[in-house]
Amino acid sequence: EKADADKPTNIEADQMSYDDVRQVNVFTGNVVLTRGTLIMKAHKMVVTQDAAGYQYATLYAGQGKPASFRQKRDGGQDLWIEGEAERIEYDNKADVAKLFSKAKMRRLEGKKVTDEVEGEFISYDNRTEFYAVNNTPSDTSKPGAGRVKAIIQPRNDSKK
Amino acid sequence: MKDRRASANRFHLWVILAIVMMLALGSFWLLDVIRRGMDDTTPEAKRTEPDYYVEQFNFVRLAKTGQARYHVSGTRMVHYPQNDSFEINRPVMKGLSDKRPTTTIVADRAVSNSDMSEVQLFGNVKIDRPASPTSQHIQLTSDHLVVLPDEDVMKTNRPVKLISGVNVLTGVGMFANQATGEFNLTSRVNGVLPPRAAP
Repeated sequence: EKADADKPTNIEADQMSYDDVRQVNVFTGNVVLTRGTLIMKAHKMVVTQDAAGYQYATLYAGQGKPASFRQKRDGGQDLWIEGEAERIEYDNKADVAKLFSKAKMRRLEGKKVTDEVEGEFISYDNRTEFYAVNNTPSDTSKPGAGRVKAIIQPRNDSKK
Repeated sequence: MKDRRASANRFHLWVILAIVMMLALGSFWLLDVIRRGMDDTTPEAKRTEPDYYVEQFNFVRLAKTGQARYHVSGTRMVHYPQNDSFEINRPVMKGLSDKRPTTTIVADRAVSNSDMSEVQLFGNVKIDRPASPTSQHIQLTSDHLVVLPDEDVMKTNRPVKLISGVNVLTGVGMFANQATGEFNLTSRVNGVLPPRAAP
């Protein structure tokens, strides 16, 4: 949801360590970040802030749980998007979430998954709600590097 | 006959008198022994009350370079001989460094060991460090803090609230080493980062 960008960010964790020299905040242990409808969970999260106050968060999976995020989508009352991966990089300035290695992303209406994507790398732009999937854990796709799987449920027009 | 009894009586009298005199002298002698004895055997009772105090003071610790490293001031500092410690009312500690802004710590009360290498602060502890080109304005509050001035370390296991710039972080337990720029909250961390200023 676009409105999320202007909401305060709330972070909960077991521990936090801040490096005054590099101005990096590291939260570890059951980390939960919430901002508006956006909820991100991870074992470890590194937050840096640039001079303009934009926050860049990198979430790491850990203790058997992937890093995950869930956010409401505009254009409908109960439209959600969920994603999980080994590592998620979230850029508050561009409002883009990048999911690296074993990335999965699902779009839901209420509890029903409308479509689902898997790949080594997924980038999701919250503003345009557009996501791109690559088969290598980087921004590019290399032939033969792995399959991208996408399941797109048929839209039944009756609901429109 | 009467004469002999008189002299006997007088003799008795003298004997009694002698005995009484001996008792009197003896008791003096005994008192003296007791008094002298008491002084040597029982140690001087360690004074638990303070033996001196200083008012409106400012204690400045100098580094080898002669530069001031930190100040400790307060309205009143009382010295306790029993464990050679100080108690300071309304302490104000200023940590000085050329690498970062002056850190000011205030509290209701502080207790420090003899060479002020460890100072425990109690009640309304506030740390304030103004912003600098490389770091934000930092304010921290807690109800107890241990400061090791010579090592630039501050720590507590009590709940703390940290305001760094516009971000507010709370947690239980804190460790900060200003020399290395390290700062940790050890449990139950909760952070609120307001949305960035509207562009």
